[in-house]
Amino acid sequence: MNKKFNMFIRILPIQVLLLPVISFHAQVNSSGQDAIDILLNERVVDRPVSLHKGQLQTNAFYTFDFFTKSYDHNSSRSDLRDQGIASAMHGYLFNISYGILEHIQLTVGMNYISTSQRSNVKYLFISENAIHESEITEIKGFEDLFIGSLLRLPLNLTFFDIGISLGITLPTAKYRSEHPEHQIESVAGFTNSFIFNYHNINPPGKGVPAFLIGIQGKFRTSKMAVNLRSDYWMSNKETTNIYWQYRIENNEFQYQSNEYNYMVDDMFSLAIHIDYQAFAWFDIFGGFSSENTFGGWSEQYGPRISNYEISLNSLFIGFEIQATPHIRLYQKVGQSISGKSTLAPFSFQTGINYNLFPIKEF
Amino acid sequence: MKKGLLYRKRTLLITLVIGICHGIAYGQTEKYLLPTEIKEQTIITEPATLQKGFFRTGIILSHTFADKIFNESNKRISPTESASAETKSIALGAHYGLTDRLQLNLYVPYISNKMSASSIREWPGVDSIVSDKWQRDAKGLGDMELGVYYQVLTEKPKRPSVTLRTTFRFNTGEKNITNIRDEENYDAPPGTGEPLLAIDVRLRKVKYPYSFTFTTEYFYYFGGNKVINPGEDELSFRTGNIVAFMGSANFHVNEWIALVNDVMYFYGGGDEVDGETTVSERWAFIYHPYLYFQIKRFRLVQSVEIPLKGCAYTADPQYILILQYQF
Repeated sequence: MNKKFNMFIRILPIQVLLLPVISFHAQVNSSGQDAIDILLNERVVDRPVSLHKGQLQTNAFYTFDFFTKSYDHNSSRSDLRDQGIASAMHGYLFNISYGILEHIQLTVGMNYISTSQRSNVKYLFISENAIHESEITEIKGFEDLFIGSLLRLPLNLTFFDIGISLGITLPTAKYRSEHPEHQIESVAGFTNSFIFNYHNINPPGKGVPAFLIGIQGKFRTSKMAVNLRSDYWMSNKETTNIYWQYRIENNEFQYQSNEYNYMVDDMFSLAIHIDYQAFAWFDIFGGFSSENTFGGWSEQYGPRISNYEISLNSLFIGFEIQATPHIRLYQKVGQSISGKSTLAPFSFQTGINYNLFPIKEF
Repeated sequence: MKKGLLYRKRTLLITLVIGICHGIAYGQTEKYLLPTEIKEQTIITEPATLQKGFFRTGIILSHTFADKIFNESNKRISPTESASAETKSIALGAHYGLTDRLQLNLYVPYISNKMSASSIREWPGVDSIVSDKWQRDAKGLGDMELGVYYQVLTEKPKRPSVTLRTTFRFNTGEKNITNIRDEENYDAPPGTGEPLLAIDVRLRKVKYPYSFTFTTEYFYYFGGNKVINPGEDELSFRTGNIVAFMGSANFHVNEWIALVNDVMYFYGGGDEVDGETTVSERWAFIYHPYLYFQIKRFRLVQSVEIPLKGCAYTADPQYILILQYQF
C-alpha cells in the first residue's frame, strides 16, 4: 500500500504538468476537427462560391464529347453519323484549388485533350487517273496552364453569395502545327490509281496568354441553390503559327512550312446551374450554358480574314455525391441544343474531387 | 493452506474457461448475418456465388463509338475512311443461387448498332460530283448467354475462394444480313452466328474493406456459316480462340460505394472466313474500372472499359451502366 502510494506521489507532478497539455490538445483536436468535419460535409447548396480558408481541393475529371451533329454558319444542323464523320473527344481535366483566406481561393489547372476529326473521303477521276483522298486532323496534347483566383465578397448573407474570378492561361502548351504525316499509296493492280491520306496534327495550345474576368453568384434556400456564372476570356495579342504546304515528288510528300499571323478569339460564356439537395449526401443539378467566340482572325490564306463567330448553347443535368467527408463524386451529361459554325457535342463528364484541410488549425 | 491454494487455482481456471468460451460464443454471434443483411452485401463482401434461393436481376446498358483502333503494328490510329459505327445494347441479366455454391446466369441482349459511311466522287474534267452514302443498321435480339458458376472452394481466413465459371453463348440473334436494298445498303445482323463457350477459374479473397481477384479465362469459338456479302451464299467462318488473364483490386470508398479496378490481358488467334485468315492475331491490355453504388438491395454500377494497348482491336472506351436488384 505504501509502495503504491509512494509511486502515486512520485508521478503526480508529471501528471499535473501534463494535464493542461493533454486537455489543451484534446480541446484543439475536438473543436478544430469538428469544425473541419462540418466544412468537409457541407451540403452543396450551403457551400460558398469559394473554398474555405485552409481547404485544399483536388479535382480530376474525364470528359467524353461525342460529336454526332454539327451546326453550319447559318445555324442549320446536320447529322455527321449519316456522313460517317462523327468523332469523339477525350478530355482529362486536372486542377488544384486552395482557400488562402476565407474569401480568396487560388486555382491551378491543366487539361489534356485528344480528338481526331475526319472529312469525307473523296474519289477524284482525272483523265486516266483515279485518286482516293481522305483527311484527318488530330488535336492532341496538353492545353495551356491555368492560374486563377476567386474573390468572394464578404457579404455574410445566408441566402446570397457573389464572387469575382480573375485568371490567366499561360502559353505553356505546344501550339504550332506539327509536321504533317501525309501518306501516298499506289493501288495494287492499277498503275494510275493512288490513295492520299492527309494527316494534320494541331496541338491545342493558344500560343498567347489569355485573360479571364468573370462573376458568379449563388442564391440559396434550404433545399435549392441557383448559380449564375459569366466569364469573359480575352487574349488581345497576335502571334504566329505555321501551316504546311506540300508537293509530291517521286510518290513522296515534300513539305514546306510557312508562318502566318493570327489572333485568338475572345470568348464570352454564361451558365445557369440549379442545384436541388435531395439528401445531405446527394445533390442533383441541371442547367443551361452558352458559349460565344468572336474577334479572332487569321492570315493563313494571305489577307486577314476574320474567324467565323462560333456559338454553342447546351443543356446539362448531373449529380454530386458526398461519398466520404473527403471524397465527392460528380457526373454530368450535356446536350447541345443550338449553335453556329461548330460541332454539336453530346458530352459526358465524370469526376472525383478530394478535399482536406492540410493545416489543422485554421 | 495447500487445499485453499488448489481451490483458488481451480476456481480461476474454471472462470477463465467459461470466460473464453463465452467470448468465442459471443464473437460467433456477432459475425452471424441476417438473410436481409446478406442480400445487402456489396460486390466486395458478398460470397463468390449467390446463396441458395437468392435471385438477382437487372438491366445492362452499354454504348461505344468506333473512333480509333489499334492496328496490327499496335499503334492507335483513326481509320481514314469516312465511316462511323455506334454500338448500343440493352440486356436483361438474371442470376439465381441454386445452392450456396452453384449459381445460374442468363443474359438476354437487345442490339442497336448504327454503321454509316459516305464518300464523294468527283470528275473535274466533266464538272461532275456524286455523293454516296451507305447505312447498315443492326437491330434486334442478340445472342443469349447461359452461365453456370460453381464455387469449388469457399473462402477461409487463409485461403481464397475458387470458382469455376462456364458460359455458353447461343445463336439466338439473326446471323445473316437482311432487307438488302443494294450492295451497300442493308440491315446488318444483330447476332454473331457463332456459338461460344467461355470457361474460367476465379480466385477471390476478401480482406475488408478490400477484395482481390485473379481470373484465367478461355474462349472457344465454334465457327459457323453466314451471309457476309449481300447477294452471295453463306460462307464458313471462325473467330480465333482467346485466352485471357484478369486481376482486380477493389475497395470500399465508404459503406455503400465500392470501386472495382479490373485489368485484363487477352490474346486471340487468327480469324478465318471461307478457310482464309482475315486477322492473324489480336490482343489487348484493358483497364476496366467499375463504380458500385449499393443502396440496400439495389445496385447502380457504372463502368468504362478502356483499351490501353492492343493489336487489331478497338481503341475506344465502352461505357456500361448496370441497374440490379437482389430479391
